[in-house]
Amino acid sequence: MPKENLSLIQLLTLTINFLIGSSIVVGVGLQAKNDAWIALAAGTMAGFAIVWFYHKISDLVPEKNIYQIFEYVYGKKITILLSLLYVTYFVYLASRVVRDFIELISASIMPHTPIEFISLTLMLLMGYIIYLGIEVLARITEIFTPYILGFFVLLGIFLIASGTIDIQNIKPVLSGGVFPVAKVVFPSIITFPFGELIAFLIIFPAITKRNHSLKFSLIGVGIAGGLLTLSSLLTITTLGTDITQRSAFPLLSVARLVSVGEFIERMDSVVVFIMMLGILIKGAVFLFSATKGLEHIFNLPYRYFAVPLAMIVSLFSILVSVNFADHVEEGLTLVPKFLHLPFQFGVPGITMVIILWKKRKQIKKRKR
Amino acid sequence: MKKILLAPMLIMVLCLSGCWDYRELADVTVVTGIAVDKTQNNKYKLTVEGINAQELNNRTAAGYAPSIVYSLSGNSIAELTQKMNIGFSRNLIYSHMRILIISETAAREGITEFIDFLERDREIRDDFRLIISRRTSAAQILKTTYPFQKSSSLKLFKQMDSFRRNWGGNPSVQLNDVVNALTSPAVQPVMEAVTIQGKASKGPSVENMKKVTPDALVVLDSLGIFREGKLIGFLPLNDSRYYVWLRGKLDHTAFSIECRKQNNNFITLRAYNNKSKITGHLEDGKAAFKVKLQLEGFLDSNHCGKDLNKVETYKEYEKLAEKYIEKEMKLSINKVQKKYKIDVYGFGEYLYRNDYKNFKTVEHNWDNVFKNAKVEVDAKVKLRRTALRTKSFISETKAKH
Amino acid sequence: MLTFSFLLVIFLLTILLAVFDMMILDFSIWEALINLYFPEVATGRSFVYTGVFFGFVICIVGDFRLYKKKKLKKNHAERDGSP
Repeated sequence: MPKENLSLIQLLTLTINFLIGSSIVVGVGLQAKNDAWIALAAGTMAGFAIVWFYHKISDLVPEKNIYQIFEYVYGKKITILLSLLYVTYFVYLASRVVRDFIELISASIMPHTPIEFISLTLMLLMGYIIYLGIEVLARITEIFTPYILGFFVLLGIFLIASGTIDIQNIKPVLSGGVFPVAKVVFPSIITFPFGELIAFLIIFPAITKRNHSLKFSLIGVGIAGGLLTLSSLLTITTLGTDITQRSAFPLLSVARLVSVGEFIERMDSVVVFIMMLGILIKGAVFLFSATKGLEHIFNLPYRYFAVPLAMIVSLFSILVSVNFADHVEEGLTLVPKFLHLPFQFGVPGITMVIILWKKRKQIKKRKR
Repeated sequence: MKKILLAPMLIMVLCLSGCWDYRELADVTVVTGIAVDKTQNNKYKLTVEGINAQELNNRTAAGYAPSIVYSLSGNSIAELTQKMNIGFSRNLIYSHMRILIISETAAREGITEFIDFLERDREIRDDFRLIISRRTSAAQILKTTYPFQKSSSLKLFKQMDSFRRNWGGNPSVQLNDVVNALTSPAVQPVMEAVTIQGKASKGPSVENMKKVTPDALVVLDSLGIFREGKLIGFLPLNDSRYYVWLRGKLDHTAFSIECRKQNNNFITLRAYNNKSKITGHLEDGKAAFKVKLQLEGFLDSNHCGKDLNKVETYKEYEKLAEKYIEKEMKLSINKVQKKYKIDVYGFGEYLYRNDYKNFKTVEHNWDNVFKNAKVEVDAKVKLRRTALRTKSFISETKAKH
Repeated sequence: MLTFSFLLVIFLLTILLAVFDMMILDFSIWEALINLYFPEVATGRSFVYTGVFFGFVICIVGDFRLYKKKKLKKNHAERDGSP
């Protein structure tokens, strides 16, 4: 099959959208109360390290995605098992991301529309995008990212103009000391959203100018982290700590407060646009990662799997949780411990160690 | 293959219009205000004002009632809003709600229960005003007509906005302000109160709009103070202005200040650029605050007959105004401290934000600490100009005699 | 192969979800499975099942076409090889 090419700018925009994705919908680091922005800023620092780590793995075994790296390291049989686990992981994450979005839509815009329908329409689109290939996805992000950035700036300006921002709300800074904030950064923010960049191990090989790709993904993480920090600052200063913590969708609640001269009111739709795009990108990247895994296992082009897998995601986005409380609790307690940590850091970490060990052995052999 | 796919996709397109949440404009009545009362049998009585859009437009108005007000009793506001079609014909849309009126009796028993619904519901925005109806039922306020805005809720909304801009007597409380105050450890919520002047029974008619002095008129009355979500008393409008100032929401206002040694002669200071700053500290469980007030203003009337061409006079008047404002502000704060014993101004909030560790020790009985807190007021008045005249003609006429 | 992968992924995810449901809602494995696939309130669930069925059909069609291609290739190879 032909090799797909992504430019560096496309990598950048993909990273930004991917990271903003569902994290802006449900809000990250809310447990840190009014220090959420500090937690996010610290998390972004950690995000740099994470991206560097994933990039390093990809560099060690060039031109290969994570499944091929597994094959290089572990051999055929274990690879199939690992790949299946990763496919499950990615499909599960895609389902969760889509569910986030469904909850947002049905709580805020269309309460009477069956959620199954929202999910199905979104997933048909996503399946179609993946059927056309990752390049198409990348071009979508390239086109829409300026809008997202623009809307963020607009939202900030409008909020300031409508006078709802009270900067005093961020005080007292670090009231409980550094420890509670650190507790939020690890493992919560590290695994979600930054650790989910593990999916980019499948995208890295497609990038044409590999020698610059690290720089661009770092910039992407920086911009996305900046936007997330900004959005948490906006929510805290406009809503106050207490309301922020009780909002199911903080940024949406913020947008509802915009009112400039009784003329520009309620920026809900703009925020939903940002969120919808982020969700679309994030879900599609996970879906792509999963199809790539199946491609590796079954030795068929990944496009064949796109629509069927999308349908599976659509089914499981409904089944993934019974209600919103179940969804949130699962995401906060179980997923980081049992899925994120092993799949994002455990397996890649071990793999990296083995690769380094193998390389050293090879060098020693050559010397002899 | 592609042609086969086309058919289901076209069918999908038909469904994409979001039929489930679709409402025709002709099928909708816009709610501009709701009122909550207490009844004996049920928990609440909800009154809703749905406007008759045709009457609000001067061209299409035919002289019918501008809005329809309907009440229903039940145990939860959330259910009642969906049940209103017992009386109304169309779907009610609550997103353009302008005011929420709570009757005095309902507020005395607690507001927390239905505030939850208002905050949670997706349709209701945060941009409406919360008001208490004093000495009359909340429904009565909604029913009282007024010639300009016709709908009483639109009238009240506009009225409060104008009043806040010109004199600053009401804080224009919104939902988030109340919720933030209710959950904050250091500040208590307030709401402005309105009442009906005249014969309340004559309010709900088109005739009321046809008189030069309406039989019934909704007027702003005072500021309701809450403790733990329950109404405990009212502050007069004059003190309410000082509250607004301390909360930093005062735009413009006017003070009449008695001249020195001349009883019953006043100068009027029109103030703009009003600023307030609270600082303070906590020691051994005793709080002391310093309030810094700052305003710029111009002289709008001068009964005192001093020569306004002189810098000297400006200085004197500034001093007078500073003293007056300091005294009044202090009185106002002391009144709240002594009579209601709660912190509505946000003094505690200042400590919470800037001296978190010390504040933690007194958080549980902050209102007690506030009751005994020492408050100093320091006003800075800058008199800039004296409108269109310099000397007052009064001094000239006096000179003749 | 496509069909197999389709069913496999569904199977794996079902297990994952069932395990999570067991942990959060204190279900036994049967309760969890029943909860997943036979919920009491199934408004619009048919939409998604239709979608999944659609995906399944695509899988079978894809498999069939792959099979045909393979056969064609084999035939070609035999024809090329025979003379």
